[in-house]
Amino acid sequence: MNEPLWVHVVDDEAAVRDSLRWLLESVGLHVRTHAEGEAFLAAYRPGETGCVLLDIRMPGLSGIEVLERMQQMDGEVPVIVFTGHADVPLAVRAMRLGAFDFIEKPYSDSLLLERVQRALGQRRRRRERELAVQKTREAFERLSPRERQVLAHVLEGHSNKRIAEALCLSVKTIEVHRASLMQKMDARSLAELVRRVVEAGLQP
Amino acid sequence: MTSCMEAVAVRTGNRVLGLLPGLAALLVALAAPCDARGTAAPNGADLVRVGVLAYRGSAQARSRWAATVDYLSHAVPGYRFELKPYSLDGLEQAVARDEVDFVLTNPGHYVVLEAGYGVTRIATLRNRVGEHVLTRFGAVIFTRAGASPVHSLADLAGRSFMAVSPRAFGGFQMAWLELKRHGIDPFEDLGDLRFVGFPQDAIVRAVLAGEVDAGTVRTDTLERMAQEGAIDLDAIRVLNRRFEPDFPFFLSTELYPEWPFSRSRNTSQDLAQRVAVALLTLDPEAPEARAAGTAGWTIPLDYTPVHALYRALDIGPYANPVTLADVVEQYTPWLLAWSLVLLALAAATAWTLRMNRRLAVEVTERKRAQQVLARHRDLLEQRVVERTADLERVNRQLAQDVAARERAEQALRRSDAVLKRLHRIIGDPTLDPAARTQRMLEAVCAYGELQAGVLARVEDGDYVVCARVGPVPAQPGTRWAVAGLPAEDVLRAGDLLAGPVDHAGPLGAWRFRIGIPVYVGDRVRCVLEFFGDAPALGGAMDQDVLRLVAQWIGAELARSEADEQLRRHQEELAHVGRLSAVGEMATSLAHELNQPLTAVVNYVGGSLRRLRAGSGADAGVVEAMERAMGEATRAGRIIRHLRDFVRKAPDEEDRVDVARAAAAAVELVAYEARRKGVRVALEVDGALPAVCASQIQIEQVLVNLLRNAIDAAQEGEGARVDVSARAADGRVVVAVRDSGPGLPAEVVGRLFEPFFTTKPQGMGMGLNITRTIVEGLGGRIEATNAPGGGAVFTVMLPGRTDDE
Repeated sequence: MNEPLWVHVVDDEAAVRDSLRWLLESVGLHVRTHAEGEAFLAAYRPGETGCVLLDIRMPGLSGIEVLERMQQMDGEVPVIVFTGHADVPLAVRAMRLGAFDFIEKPYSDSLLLERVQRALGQRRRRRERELAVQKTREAFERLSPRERQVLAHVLEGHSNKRIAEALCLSVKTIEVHRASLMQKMDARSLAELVRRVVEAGLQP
Repeated sequence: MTSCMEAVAVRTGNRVLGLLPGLAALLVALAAPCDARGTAAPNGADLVRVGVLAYRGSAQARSRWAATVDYLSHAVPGYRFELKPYSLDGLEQAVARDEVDFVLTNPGHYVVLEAGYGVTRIATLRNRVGEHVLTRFGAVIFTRAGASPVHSLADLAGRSFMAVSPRAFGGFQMAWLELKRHGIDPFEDLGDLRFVGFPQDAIVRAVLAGEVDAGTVRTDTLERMAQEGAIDLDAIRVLNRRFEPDFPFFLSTELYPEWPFSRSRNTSQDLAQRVAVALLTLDPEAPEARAAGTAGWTIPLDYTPVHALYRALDIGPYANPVTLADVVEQYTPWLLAWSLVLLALAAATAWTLRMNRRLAVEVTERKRAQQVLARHRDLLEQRVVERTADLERVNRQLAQDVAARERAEQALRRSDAVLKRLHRIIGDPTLDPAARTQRMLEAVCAYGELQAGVLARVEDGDYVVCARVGPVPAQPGTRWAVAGLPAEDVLRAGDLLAGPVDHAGPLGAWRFRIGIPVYVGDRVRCVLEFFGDAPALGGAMDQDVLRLVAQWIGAELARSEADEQLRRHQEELAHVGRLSAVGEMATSLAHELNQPLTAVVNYVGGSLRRLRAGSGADAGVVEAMERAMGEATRAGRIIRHLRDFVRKAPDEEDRVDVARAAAAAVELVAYEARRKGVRVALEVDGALPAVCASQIQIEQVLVNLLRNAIDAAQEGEGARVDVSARAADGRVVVAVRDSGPGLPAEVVGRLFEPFFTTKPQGMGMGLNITRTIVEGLGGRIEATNAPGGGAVFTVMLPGRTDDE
């Protein structure tokens, strides 16, 4: 959870790139810069990325093309697009392609940092949720066949007695399975168990 | 040439007028259509007729445009502009008969005239509405708010509708297209379609009074009436409301460009150019602009939306003729009967027609060829006439005088000698005007046994020495008040004065003086005076020699003034060209500035945060601030460079490093190239000789060529522009090559003509200005297609040799 989330800057102009790194690092962010779209996509690891600052007008691969390629890789990373004031139609296209936000150059530094923080916040929340789902799925994999059967009945709202009848087991045994699966799924209450299973989209 | 012929014809007409009025009228009538430009006006200036669409009557058109037309008379010397108001049909007829030289009409009508009679736009109106300045307009379709059951254009079926006239562009045709797009044919589907003419206010009132269900008027009519307190905007429901960026008024249709100012097909390019420059340089706040309700004029806009409207409505130049099928269907029996008769007739006339057509084609082609030939011949002749007329006059008079002097033997030898000497001086091409004047003064002094001679300019009551010979205590540039000088008498007499003088004032003490005024046109510009103690001058013959010298100096002055005017005109044109180029690049240049400003914000913002957090003013912060400084300097340089580029007059001509100018030009167009995805590469081959020019001139030439090349390259694959500069035979050769589709054969010959353009937007002056600058610097420009594809523009400029 505490691994750093990288902010990627993609801009063909060295002065803009270097100065952005200087600004972003002043608030303790981790920055990687790229001079062109191809290089960025080659170095891009969606899992480690907090957000991307992307210049919409670049020679070679344009900002729009980079966005399209990112969509195919992972749509969850927020992208903030830089535009000039006459680029409204381009900005609209970028937003349609799922860009998180766009900022007109020149901008105020605090506005930029605020947007970056907001993008990172969204990214972190999503990331936490992703990790939680992953954990639930791993726990589910560890359940025994019998525990999965019990889980299915629990989710149907059946009582231990009814589950015991259905599975031809004693109520005591059901209670043991139930306690074990609650522990494995790291759920302290029935409600928490249901939420985990629904969030992870599991079908026991 | 033609103007002379007509002037003669008109004068002849006047003389015969008393005797044969019919014949005189015929002569005038025959002379008039010869050349639209050349009609001689009473005051000697050429008359130029500006046809204006008077859609609200002649008086209104006159009160709106008279000031603009007067401004043109003032701004374009040598011509008198006259305003001619016409109706729609009247204006079209006047254009067809070449009775107007310039046309000012609505965009719809302009498109008709452009397609039918080759009229070309040279400027577009900047309309002033309240505090807004707009170059586009549209129409608004509206109904009453509240009770009206009409909520959309489709609801108008079966309803009553009011507009200006079927041929009003903003007053009906724009709305027509919009209705058609919504499935309503206004002539078929409306319950009642009423045309009530101008003013449009009546339509608004009729709709509000419930006399009709809906109506259409030009945009801004509603807002204007509301501001006048005539209506309440809340009482109006706008149908099919549209929003366009930066357009502040109710709008139901597309936007179309404002009224264009255009020239007729026969109007000379030079005149059109001068009128365009005059319009474009009219101050938006000038009383002439305000009187017309405008904020001046801008470079001509794209009129293709108007063409598109006419094409969609099948009207104007795109009107469909009645089809054969329609006729056949309706008149089958008649047609059968007549077709037999016609068949016989057709066979007989077919031959005649074919012959006629062949003849007509031949005649048209010959006429066109003759026109082209005539234009070139006129230009050539005019130039030859201008350059040689003065010299010829002097020569003629010299010849006459030589002949006259043969009768007076005594005077002959001396006069003959001085005339021959003067003739040699006049004919010596190695002398510049100043040296010529000096030699002539010396020749006259020697001839008249005079000790001193002075040529002085007369301006604002002052006597300013231009040239002198002999012991006169004055330098060129010395200035005295004329009052009290001997020249005062000469100026008062307006003619040659010779005789003893009591005093010559600051010019020294002389016993004898002969002086003569020098005329340019009918104004005295200079005084030519000679002083001595034992004069040989005195006889009538001798005075003729002096008159001749005075005339010659006057002619030289007139010529140099004309040259100066031409130079100023070209300079102004070049300035307008630079302004419009920068205007077109404005968006790109704003981006160019954004980069350094963004970097400055980042560097400074990052540094401030570190300092506030107390992480110390370390080496990193110092370096960031240095970089911010560098970027701010870069932004400043872009602005300074731009300001230099649009400065009114270029620097004095000096040694220019073409490589440096080329780098600056490439930098100016860099962002535009980046935006359009075009790579621009500059290659300088070795050391280049300096060129005698101003830096701005070379930059303007290259910016024009680069922008064209970028536009051309944009259309092709692997878009790039290569600029190369090299030295060859003491010249500098700069080539701009693009990767575009190359130049079509029919375009190559016309590239450098003024107003020739293949782009929908733009004045078509760029290459013309470019050539004028290059040729003014003694160079040459060529356009060719490269062997590997794409166009190459090559500029050759003479290198400056060291002894200059």
